[in-house]
Amino acid sequence: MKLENKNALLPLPYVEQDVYKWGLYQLSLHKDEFLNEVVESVIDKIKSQYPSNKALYEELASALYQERIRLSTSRWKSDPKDDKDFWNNIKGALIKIKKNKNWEQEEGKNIHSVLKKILYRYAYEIVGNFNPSVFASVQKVLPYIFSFFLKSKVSNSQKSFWSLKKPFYDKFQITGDFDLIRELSKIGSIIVVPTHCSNVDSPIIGWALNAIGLEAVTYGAGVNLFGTQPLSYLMGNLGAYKIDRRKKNKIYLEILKNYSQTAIQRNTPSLFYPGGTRSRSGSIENKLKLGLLSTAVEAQQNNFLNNGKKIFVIPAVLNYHFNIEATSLINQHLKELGKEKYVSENFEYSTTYKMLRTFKQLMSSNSELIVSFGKPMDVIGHQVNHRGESISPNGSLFDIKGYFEIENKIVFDEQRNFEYTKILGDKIIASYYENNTVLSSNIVSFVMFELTQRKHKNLNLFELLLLPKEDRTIDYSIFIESLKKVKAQILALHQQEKIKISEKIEESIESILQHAIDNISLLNSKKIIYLDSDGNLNSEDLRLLLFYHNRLKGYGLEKYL
Amino acid sequence: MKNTYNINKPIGILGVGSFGTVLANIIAEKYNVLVYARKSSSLQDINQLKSHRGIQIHPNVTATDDISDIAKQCDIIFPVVPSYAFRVVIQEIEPYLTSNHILIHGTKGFDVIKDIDNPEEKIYPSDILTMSELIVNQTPVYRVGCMSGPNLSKEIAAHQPAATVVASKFKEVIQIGTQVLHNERFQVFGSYDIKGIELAGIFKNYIAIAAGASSGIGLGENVKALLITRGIAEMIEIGKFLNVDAKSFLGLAGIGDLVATCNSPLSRNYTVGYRIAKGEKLEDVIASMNEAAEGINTVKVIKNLSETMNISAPLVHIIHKVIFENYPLEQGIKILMRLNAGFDVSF
Repeated sequence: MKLENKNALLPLPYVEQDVYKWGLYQLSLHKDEFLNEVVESVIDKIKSQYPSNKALYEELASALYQERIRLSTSRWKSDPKDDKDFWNNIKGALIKIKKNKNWEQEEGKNIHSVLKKILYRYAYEIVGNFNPSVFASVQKVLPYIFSFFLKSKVSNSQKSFWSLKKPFYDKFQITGDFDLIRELSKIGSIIVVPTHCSNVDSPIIGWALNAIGLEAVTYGAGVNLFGTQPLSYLMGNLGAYKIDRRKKNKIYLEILKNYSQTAIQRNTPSLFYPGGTRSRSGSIENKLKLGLLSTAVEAQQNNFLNNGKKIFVIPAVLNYHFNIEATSLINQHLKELGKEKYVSENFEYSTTYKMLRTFKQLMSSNSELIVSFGKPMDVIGHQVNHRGESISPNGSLFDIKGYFEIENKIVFDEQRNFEYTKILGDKIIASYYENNTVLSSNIVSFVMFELTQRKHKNLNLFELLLLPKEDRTIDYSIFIESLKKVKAQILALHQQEKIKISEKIEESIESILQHAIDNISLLNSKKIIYLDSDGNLNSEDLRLLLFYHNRLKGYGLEKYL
Repeated sequence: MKNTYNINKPIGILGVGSFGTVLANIIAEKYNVLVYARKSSSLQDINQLKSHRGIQIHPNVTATDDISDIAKQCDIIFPVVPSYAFRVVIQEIEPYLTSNHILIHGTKGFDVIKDIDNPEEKIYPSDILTMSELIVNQTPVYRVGCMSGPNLSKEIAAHQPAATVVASKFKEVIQIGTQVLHNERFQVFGSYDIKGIELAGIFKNYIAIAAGASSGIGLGENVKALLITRGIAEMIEIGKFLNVDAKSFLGLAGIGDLVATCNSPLSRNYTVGYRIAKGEKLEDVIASMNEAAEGINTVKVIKNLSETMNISAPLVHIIHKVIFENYPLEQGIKILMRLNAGFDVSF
């Protein structure tokens, strides 16, 4: 399928016009009731996982221990002021329990009340908010802000400031079966699962969903992002909930999963990045974090037991020519590859600034910004039709409820559901590969890095990245020859619907190269690809070249060079 | 692993070969069983005579010649048809299969997409499917399992004790398989490594042919032991190319099944090797057997695969020569003795 620019139609009207009926607003409105439900479901789970007081006590003590370490080693601005007091109280309560000699045999009321306290604490830390008036203002103002950046490049006239909303949408190339996605959002709960390699992904995918008329989605964002004031205020009021990656204790992870699962069950449109965090290497995610994804499967099982509502998973791939975070991402990737044991997640103060800068570049250049929605699927990865019915591999319609049943009765089985999650994960990855759009910068950096590697076969990756400038030269004619071959293979894959291409890829080889050179270094002071005085190719930053090259890994293109 | 499921529907069985028949009897001790028998003679044997292939049929077993009955009445189905017919049978039942079904097969052979009789064809790992992979590929069923182990039908029919492995990625399938099959004479072990268990059962067949051939020319236990242990090493080597870990080959479905079949004239694969070594022609041996010996096709597939992938597998090449090219086993053994033996356990 060729990229069609359906953007003339955008933005589409909202599927649900009344913002007060949106799932996210309803969730905010009934926040306490929602959090009660989350906490109760975690208590049930934890009680069955730790049937004895002793086992539960040990788990709580271990959570306390980890929290106290966090308090003394890694305090962030975004942390609540009374954190220390709270955990001191928990410590006191735990000590008190053990003072009773028969605590192990007792009913466990005291220990359960400590558990409940911790759970509520976490629940209110995590919970997000949705404020329709903040949403409405952002929606009104943003296009003009972005368009202003755009305009500054297009013309110097100030007059047309308010009439530039349209070009903003033209910047986006959004593809996918919008009708189907919209239809499904009426029938059941939707979960959008995009690729992730930049902090600008969330606003961009949010904007794309808005453009096709979907309700606002809830999504988890690293609590470190909530430190910067303006951004924190916006995210906090636009449905983001907070994930604290420093907290790795079981109770926290369990409540996080149940938060997501309960929100889905309450018909709140959701978004997860199934890769977990931003792709460090720049490649398409080929391994997913199944923990959060499994909440989709568990929620579907519960829905079948309750209201029968179906859950639909919508993969999405985001493509841009450049990524302001590329340097730090690829450095972290290389550190991991180099077996450095611990990569710290740094507090990122400058996110608002970075985002604005990225947007400015996106808007003020001819750069493309592509969001491709894959085919929607049920929670086990089958395609679905407009009525939300699942389509079996042979094309017939069928009901997936049976996958959760033994002799027509739903049977709870986490291990089975986890196997289904693996199947879903594989289908999402396949969809990512099919919906990845080849940009000029991807194909050019791919060919160039591969040729560099070939030229210096005896060097390992780390040695290669240290090559002196004069050794990085790639002969122009060799490069053009290789680019032709890889382009031919990409076109063949495109024919088989195994990848998407941007319009540029169909143009001449020279024009692809020029477009890549113009776009890839927009955010960098160093030239990632350039033509030297002899007319050969060179790079001032092989790490970034590697990063952009990685986007085309996994298609077996190396063979065609 | 304790979890008892409420099973009220009959258990389905596809195939009424000797193993299908004894399997029906095992399950019938606790559950109603519905078997699919294509031939009207088999149908009559089971429903009226209550005796099939010389085995008395348990009163809880009923037969039908309509494959859709099996899918409609049973949620748990055991396909036990030979690998060459497996795809066809699965395609026949596929329109009636739903997400409710659980399939546990007992077939020790491959499904190969390419023509294995064409010497020009090169077989790659991706051309080979195990039966569980075939089911997942062709039907809406995900919950699949397999059963494999030293289960010589005649011994089970004679009410002798035996054990098997039920393997599946799903704990639920292992538990259900165990619940349905286990009785005081039939022990059931579980495994999550379904592909490993399937391959163990498939690979061991050609080693059983080798062992039979070695007995056929009057060689003794030293040679047989050599063939079995080098056979396991070869299985593990080939398994690596099919992404399978060695562990499962060392259990009941691997070594266990090898010990049983490599010593038993009750094994079809052993018998094929034995009779060919005695000078009979392959066609005559096949024609005189009323059930397929899976090992014959396995030899073709593995030989081709090992050539394509450049895997060192001397045993399969020798067996191929012996059964298809009238090559005397004595010569083959000489070749094995001349090879650079290398290290014993190098996997």
